Amino acid sequence: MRWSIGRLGLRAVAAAIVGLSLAGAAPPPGADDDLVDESAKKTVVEELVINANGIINVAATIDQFVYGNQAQNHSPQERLELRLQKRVDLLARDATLSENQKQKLLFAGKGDIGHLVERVEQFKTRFQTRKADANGLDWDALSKEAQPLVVSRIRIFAGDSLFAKTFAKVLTADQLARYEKIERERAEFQHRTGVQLTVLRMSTALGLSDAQRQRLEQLLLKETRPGRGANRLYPTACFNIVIVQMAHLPAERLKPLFEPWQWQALQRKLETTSRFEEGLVRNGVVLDGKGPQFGGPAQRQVGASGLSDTTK
Amino acid sequence: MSRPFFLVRWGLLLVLAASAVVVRAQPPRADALGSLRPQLQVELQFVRKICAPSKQQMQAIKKDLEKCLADAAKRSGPTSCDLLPPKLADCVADHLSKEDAVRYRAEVIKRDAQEREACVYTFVALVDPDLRLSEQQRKALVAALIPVWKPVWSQMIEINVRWSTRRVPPIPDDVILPLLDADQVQAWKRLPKNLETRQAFDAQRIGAIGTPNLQPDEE
Repeated sequence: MRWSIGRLGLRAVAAAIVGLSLAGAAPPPGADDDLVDESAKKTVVEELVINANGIINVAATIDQFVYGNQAQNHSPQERLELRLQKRVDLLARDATLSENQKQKLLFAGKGDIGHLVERVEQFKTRFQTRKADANGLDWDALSKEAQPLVVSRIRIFAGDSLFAKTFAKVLTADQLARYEKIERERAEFQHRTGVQLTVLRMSTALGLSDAQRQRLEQLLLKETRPGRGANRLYPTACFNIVIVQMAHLPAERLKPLFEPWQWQALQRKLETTSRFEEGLVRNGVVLDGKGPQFGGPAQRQVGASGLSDTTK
Repeated sequence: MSRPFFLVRWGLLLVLAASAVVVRAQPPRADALGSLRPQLQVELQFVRKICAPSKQQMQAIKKDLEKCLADAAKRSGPTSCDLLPPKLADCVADHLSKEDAVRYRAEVIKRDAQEREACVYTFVALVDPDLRLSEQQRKALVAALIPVWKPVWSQMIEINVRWSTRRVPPIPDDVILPLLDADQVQAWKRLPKNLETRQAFDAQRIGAIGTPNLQPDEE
C-alpha cells in the first residue's frame, strides 16, 4: 500500500492518533500480547513524525523506525551510550572487571554506536532529495528498507560487534568462566520461569488439573532449552521462548497429556505462536546448547522439530 | 477557502478523533460481564475437567458464575483479587455433590499455588537483570516470597507479562532488603513500583494465549 496523503489526511491521521492516546494507556482487549518487542505492535502510520505544518519529518521518522521511542530528552546516540554504560556496569559487577577493562569495553561499544549512527545518517540522505514530497513517500516500503538497521540496533553489542569481540579478548580465562557460569544459571532460572508461565497460561486456557500441570511442567523442562537474547530478556520473552518450542514438539509427546477437547483447543493456541517466533528471531534470541534454533521452516507437530538446525 | 467547507473539514476531524476514543474505550463485548467474560470460560473449563458435571449442573454453575461476574462488573459484588476468586469457587462448588465439591476445592487450592509460584518466579526473573542476583539469592527470594505473596501482586505480574510493562509489586522492605547487598538495595529502590494495591480483578491478565477458545456448555 502506498501512503499518499494530503494535509487534510495527515491531520485526520494525527487526530486519530491523539484520540487513541487520549483513550488511556491500556491497549484494547484482544490485541496481540506476549510479543518480545513493543515495536512489533506499531503500524507504520503510528510511527510517522508529523510537523506542525502537516508535513512528515523524514529524518525524525527514520529515527523513529530505527531507534524506537523518540519521546525522551536524549538523542539516539546519547540513549545508546547510556545503554552501553549500563551494560558495562552490570558486566563489571558479574565479571569483576578492572577499570582498564571497562574503558576498553566502553571504547569498543562507542565504536559500534558510531558505526550504526553513521549508517542511519547515510540511509537518511537517500530520501533528502524528496523532502518537498515527503507526504508522497511509500512509508511501508521505507520502513521495510530500514529493518536491517533496526536489527543492527537491537544486536548492536552482540555477534560480530566490536564490543563482543573486545569482551571476549580482554577478559581473563577465570573472569570468562565466572561470567559464563553466572549467565548460564540466570538463563536456567529464566527458562524455569518461562515453563511456569506457559503452564499457567495453558492452565487457564484448557482447565488443566494439578496432575496435568505437573506432567506438562516436567515435559517442558526436559524437552525445551533456555534461550539468551542480544539484550536483557523480560519475562514475556521467557514465556515466548518456551511456548514456541512447545509448538514445535512432536504431537505424540504432547497429546497424551490432554483430554481430546483440551488437545483440540491446544492445537489452535499453538498455531498462533509463529508471530512470537518472528519476534524472537528479530531480537537475536538463540537457544543454549546443540540443536535446532528459532527461525526454521514452519513445520509444527509433525514428528520432528521444525526449528532450524544450527547450533549456538 | 469557503466557511462551510472549513466547518465540514474540522467536523470530520473531530468525529475521527472521537471515534478513536470510543473504539479504544469500549469493552470487548458490551454485555453484563464486560471484560470479566473470559473468567467465566476459565472456570467452566476447569470444573469440566475436574468433575465432569452433568449438563444440568453446568447450566446452574454457569448461571451462578454469570451473576457473580455481572455483579463484579457492576461493582455491586466482590471485585478484588482477594475476594472474587473464592466467590467464584463457591458458585461452582454449590452445585456439585459433596465429594466432587471437596475434590474441586482441593484442585482450586493447587491451581492457586501454581499461579503464585509462577508469579514469584516471574517477579524474580523481572528484577534479576537490574539487581544482578546470584543463584543463591534467586532461590532465597523465591523461598521468602511464596509464603507472603498477595493475590494482587500476581495480577500485577501477569499484567506485566501481558503488556510487556515493568512496574513491580511493592514488596515490603523487611522481606526483600535482608536478601540484598548495598548496591542491590539501591537498585531495588530505583525500580518503578506499582502502588495500586486495591485493584479489581482483571480477567485480561491471562492474555490471549491463556483465554479459553471453547465454551464447554455450547459444544
